Amino acid sequence: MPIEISWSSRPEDTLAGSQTSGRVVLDGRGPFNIGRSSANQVVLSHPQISRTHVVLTVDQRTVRINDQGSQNKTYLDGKPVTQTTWAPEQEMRIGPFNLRYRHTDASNQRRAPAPTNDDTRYAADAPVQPADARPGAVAPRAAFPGRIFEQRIVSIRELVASGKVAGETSYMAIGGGIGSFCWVDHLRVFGVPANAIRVIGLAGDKRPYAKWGRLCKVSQIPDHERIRSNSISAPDNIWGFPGYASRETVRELKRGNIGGLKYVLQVFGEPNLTESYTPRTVDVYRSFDRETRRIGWEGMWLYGQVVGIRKTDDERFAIAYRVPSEFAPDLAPEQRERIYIARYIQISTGYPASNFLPDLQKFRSENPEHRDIVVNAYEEHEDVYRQLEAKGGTVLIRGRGIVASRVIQRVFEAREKNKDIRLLHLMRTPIARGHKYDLATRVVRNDVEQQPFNWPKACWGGTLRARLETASPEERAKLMRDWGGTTTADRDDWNRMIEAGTREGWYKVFYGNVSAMSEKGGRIVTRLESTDRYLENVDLTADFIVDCTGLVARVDETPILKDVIATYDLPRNNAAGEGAELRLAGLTVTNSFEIAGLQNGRARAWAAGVVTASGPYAAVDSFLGLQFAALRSVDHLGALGAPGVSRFGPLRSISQWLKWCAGSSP
Amino acid sequence: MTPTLLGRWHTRLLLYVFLGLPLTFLWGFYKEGWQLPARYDLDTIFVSSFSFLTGILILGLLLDVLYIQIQRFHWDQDWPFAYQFFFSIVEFLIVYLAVDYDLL
Repeated sequence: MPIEISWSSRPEDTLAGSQTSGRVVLDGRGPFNIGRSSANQVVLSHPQISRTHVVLTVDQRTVRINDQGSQNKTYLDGKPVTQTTWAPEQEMRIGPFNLRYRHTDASNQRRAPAPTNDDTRYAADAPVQPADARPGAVAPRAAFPGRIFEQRIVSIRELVASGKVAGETSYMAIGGGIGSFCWVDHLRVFGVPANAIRVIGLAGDKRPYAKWGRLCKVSQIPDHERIRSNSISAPDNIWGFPGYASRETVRELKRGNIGGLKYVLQVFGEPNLTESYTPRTVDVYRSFDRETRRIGWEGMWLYGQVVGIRKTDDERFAIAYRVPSEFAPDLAPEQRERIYIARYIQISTGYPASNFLPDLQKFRSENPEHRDIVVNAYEEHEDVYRQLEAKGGTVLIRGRGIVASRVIQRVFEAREKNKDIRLLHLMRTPIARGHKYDLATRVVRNDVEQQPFNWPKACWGGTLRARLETASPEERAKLMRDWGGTTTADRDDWNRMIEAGTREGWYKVFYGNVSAMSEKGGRIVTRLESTDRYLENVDLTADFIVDCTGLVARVDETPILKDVIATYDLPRNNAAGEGAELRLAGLTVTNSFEIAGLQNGRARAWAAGVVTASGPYAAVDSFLGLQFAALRSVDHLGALGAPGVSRFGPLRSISQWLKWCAGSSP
Repeated sequence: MTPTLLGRWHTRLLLYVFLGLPLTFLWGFYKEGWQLPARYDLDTIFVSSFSFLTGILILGLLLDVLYIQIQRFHWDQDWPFAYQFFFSIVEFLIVYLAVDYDLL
């Protein structure tokens, strides 16, 4: 049954020009997000409110609330809460707002859009969600940057005359995520002062790991879990020493725990004698926090969604951006449209969206009342496990990568609370033998190819990296086909879970192509055309389907890149495949990660991350890959004689390393 | 570790110059009781130890070619620290025996 949420605040507590009260009807089970971000179902603009502050899920007549670790907490009848049920008579308070709800018959009321209005694609980041999909009043999109940006080279005089220019800088990182962070960190360590650098991004708390952390959380990597990354892949430390393993060992030894030596021994023996070391999510977060403070990251930050990049006639770039209303609620829309001028830029906008299998999208749009039984592993779906723990049921997993492994682990944990949970794992074909390259074959266990990281390890710094760098575009596409493909980590605990599930009869793999999907009594039936030499079609009935097929990486899904590619005819890398593999087709960059087509006299542009996929480096979307791209581009800046970038010899390196150890500013 | 052949050679030369030579020099002084050695001792104390060290360097540079081939059997084309630790003992023993049998 739908619920109507209403909220109000005292006018003196709210910001000028923003709404003090409102109401919205939410239909379905959710999850419904409440927060400052305009991508939420309930948008409350106030600095005390986090971007996604609290999430509601509705089950029959029960409304559950789940605080998303908000800075200023969620209160129920005056008491701070994190996860609990919300009764209609209770008043929720977040920031200056008081919220209530009631059950309602929605037939004659204005409905809020369902959790994701755009069925074709989940937005991995708020900006790709179309503005008109938001509830509540949104100003019509003005023609910004409009006429000024119609030229391939824009006049600096015209830009200034427009009155939109907010400032100018030497270095600008576009994206604000980990890719931007690595570049800025290198610039700072190489000698560039913080006031010569600007970062433009959308993370509410200015944290470079905001989006990454959210994806970790929803894809079942809680804070105490270990990510698929190595000890020396430390984005907070350009030397890679001390890595996460030795830091963890030192911390444990300080606590008097000799067992902490295990982590450095792991690094010593990995991957043959021991399982590869991987750091805990929470330690990665902490290390970012420390380094952001050290390099003065927050002082460089600008809130904004970039809407255009153009070359200027004075050998620089003009970056047009819009400040989202939640970060400047007291400004009129046209006051939030700004242009920044920069000479050296780096673009690292990351994955634009999460993948959603077409047949699952179709099911959702045809069965809107049952849309929440089909979820994407890269979206908030904790409710699925809560319901499983409460009532039991059957889950069907699509996809066999690392996220599938994590979902299996989560279901395994749910079974500790409720044994009446079963798992169906749908794969297109069995895998008997792994990929082959050179003299080696990749290991296969439980129908999934296994390797410690998402590429063979030598892609980061070894022979395979060197091989790829010197290869032609055609060779690169072939090499990446050989090395790539879906894999999971060779973790003993995961293998044991699958083996236990097979033995105990709650885990089963099915092979086939999905020929139809239908709804039956609130459950979902997947019809399989078998690819397993079995002639009969098979129907699989499940309570939930979790799509674990990954993230969308096509660069033209990011509007800003699409525009810049079209404007300057930028070349793209050969795709390493078709269909799902099409994710590998990034912007063509040089071996120093420069976007050659954007050169504008002295002004240069670099890229990092997945937007450069299938180029000179394979593991672009990893921590170490982002650092590698940053190092290459900042070295290049040094060779160009860019201001502030010093020659980074051994002495400077040592003195900067000592500063890192002391935690003092570079 | 995921080394390239060039990377292996760089590392060896770097360690030879910045660790091997100074440590060998200090070791020679230690054997002399921290005094400048008499002329006839120069050879026994310093030259022999430096030639031992250089022997290990040259053997290592040659063996690196073999190691990089062995690496190709690993899917990850990596070289665990444990392997390098093991082979550094092997390298030492080879040179030690070669000296023992007056081959070097």
